Amino acid sequence: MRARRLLLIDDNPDDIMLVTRALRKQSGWQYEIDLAYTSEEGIRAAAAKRYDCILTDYNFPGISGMELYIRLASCCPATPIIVLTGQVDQAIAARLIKQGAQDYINKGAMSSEKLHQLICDAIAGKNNDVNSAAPGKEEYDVLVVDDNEDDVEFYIRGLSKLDPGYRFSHVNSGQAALKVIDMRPPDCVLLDYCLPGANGLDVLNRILMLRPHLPVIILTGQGSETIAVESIKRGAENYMVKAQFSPELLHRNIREAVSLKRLENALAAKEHELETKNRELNKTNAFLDMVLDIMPGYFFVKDENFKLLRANAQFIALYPDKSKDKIIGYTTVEDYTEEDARAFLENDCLAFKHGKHETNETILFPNGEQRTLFTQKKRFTDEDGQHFLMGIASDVTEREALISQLQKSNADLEEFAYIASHDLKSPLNGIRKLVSWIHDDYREQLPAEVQEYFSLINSRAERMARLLEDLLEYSRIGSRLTAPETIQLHDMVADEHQINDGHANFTVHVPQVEVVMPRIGLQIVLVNLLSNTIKHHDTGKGHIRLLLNQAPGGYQLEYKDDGPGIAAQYHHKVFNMFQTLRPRDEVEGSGMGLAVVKKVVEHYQGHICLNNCADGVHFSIFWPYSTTEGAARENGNGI
Amino acid sequence: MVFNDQVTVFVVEDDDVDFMTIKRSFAKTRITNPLVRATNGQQALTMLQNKAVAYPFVILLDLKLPKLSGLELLSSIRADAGLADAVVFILTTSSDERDIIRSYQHNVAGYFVKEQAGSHFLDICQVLNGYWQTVHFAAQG
Repeated sequence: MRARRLLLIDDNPDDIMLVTRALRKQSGWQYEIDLAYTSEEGIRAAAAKRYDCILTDYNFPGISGMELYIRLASCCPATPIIVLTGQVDQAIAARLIKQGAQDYINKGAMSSEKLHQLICDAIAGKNNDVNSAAPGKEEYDVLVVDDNEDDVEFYIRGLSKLDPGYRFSHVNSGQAALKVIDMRPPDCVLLDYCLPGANGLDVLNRILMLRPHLPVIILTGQGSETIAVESIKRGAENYMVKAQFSPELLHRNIREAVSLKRLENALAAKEHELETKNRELNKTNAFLDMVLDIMPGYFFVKDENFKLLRANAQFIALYPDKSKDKIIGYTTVEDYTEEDARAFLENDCLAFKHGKHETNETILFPNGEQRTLFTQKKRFTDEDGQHFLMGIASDVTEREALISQLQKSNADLEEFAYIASHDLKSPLNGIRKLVSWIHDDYREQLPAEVQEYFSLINSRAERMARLLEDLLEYSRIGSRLTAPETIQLHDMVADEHQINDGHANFTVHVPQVEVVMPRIGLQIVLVNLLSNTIKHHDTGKGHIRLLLNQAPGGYQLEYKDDGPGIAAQYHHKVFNMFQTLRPRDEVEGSGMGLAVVKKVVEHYQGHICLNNCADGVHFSIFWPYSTTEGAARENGNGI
Repeated sequence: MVFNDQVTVFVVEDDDVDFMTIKRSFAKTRITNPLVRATNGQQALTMLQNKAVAYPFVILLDLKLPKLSGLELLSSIRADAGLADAVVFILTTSSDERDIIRSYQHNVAGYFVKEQAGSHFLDICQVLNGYWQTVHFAAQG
């Protein structure tokens, strides 16, 4: 059992009970507590006996807390003092600690453990102060301001004997003192209160105006409490009566004053540093808030209990005005439909579990709006090991609505083309059959003119059948396209070339390269380009040249032939549906070939253009490299 | 043993010209098998269920039909215990692979695309004729 002697100065029996009970509970420690019920009693007790620690109330009649503290500190400077305050007043507490109080404790929030710890820390802290000011460790530059040569001699001799670290300078007037302090400030000033022709307090004021942080110890011939208090009030570090002190006490006071000031300065520097850092932090925070509020989307942070800790303005705006103060610090699940809340809490759990989670979610928000969000949630851990979730969501309501509209209209269009071309084909076939039966059964009976008409009907019907067939083909391109694979370009071109009638009269030059492209898409493009050349060639014999280059982000295909070419004024028309530049009676064709080519290329986000050139046609096709992501999209929802 | 000219050809076809095509082609290839016609899927199903088509028979089925479509009729036939084993050929204008796949999923004996008039359909007739000349039908159960 270890023992400690405490002095408790308090006039409130309840508080005394509180403190004594609290300390009695501390096992392993024997607290021996002397009680003082008035400030005077307290000061007397502190002067008479050595205590390990003094606990004192702050409010006594007739004396300010600060004054009481100063008087206590001056009669037992080595004893740590803890101030008991009624209500937490940070400003008072800070001032007391600056003055040298070891700590303060709020009576309202005091626990046995806390008080004990505070006492232990205070005692340890005070010991450190004394140790750090141990003799021989530091040098003290002391300015003695006194007109009494004997007194000066007494101080210098006494102090030098105690510590070789002293260096003295001596002046005998306030004027001279200010000059020295201005030029080269000492560590400490010993100021005689009674200087010829000057009031000690005035000199003190002027010194502190010049050097606010200089410790000044007032020395006076006669003991006067008023002077003492007034000096301390005006900022003197300490007050000593000449006849009543020994060199040892002076030495101790100087050391304490200096180290206290040094600590104060260090504290002030730290405070300044802290303030600067705080300002920077505030600036950074303000900037971050601004970024979060400007960004187009929702931002939030949740803790492990799904409580919102932070959210940007956009997120807050999802709530009606009346519940805006019930967002931060709340889960807000009750603001959503049960189903929505369950869904996003499930996602939160997944994100906590796997580190991240992303989803498209349609949520009815508390402000009554239903929105579709693309939400990404990511887990992070703070310095204390607490897990949090950071969420960023972008509003994709309009985008998703457009996508589904587009998908529907694409499907509708395809369905329409399919049904239309199909249903149109049957009656057409009927017409062609009837014409052929007339031809078969009654040819001999018909005049040549009628036979000619019937053959025209037949050729028109055939053309219409081809148009329908190609239209159907065009509408089905999307569903036939596939994911990319490795292809020998040369072999594929050779194969596709064989398909077209009349290919034998045309040579094709293709580089022997390997490409990674969607097979069917490339086939459709090649067969249509080749057939286009063969069909429209003016001599029926020619050369086709295909080049393949690597361009940034994709393949660059160049297709050139030596045919008649296409006049520049028609360039914008060639990719239109059912567009032919020559009468169908000369060249049979639906005019769908290049439209199909364009649709395929654009399906893969590429583009095709027809270049101006002197002879033949020159198509340039840019075909983007397929990314795995793109491939996945193709497979996932082919149009 | 069933004589091949006793096989009834049950044509489900709404288009008169298409039906005439079949009649003409049969005549040209001297196929004398009895032809029975329904003009929509519902009528065809009723006739089959009422045994209005003499056994043995093969069905020539168009896919585009009023009321009950060809594929719907096919599903009904396969779901009907008394008709499930019927021999069905599809004869349609559609060359859409989706239609072809769905038809074979219903166990059709063949899928023909009605093309232009002329000799093409005669080939189909030859195939059909060869089919019932060489294929054995189950005795009616």
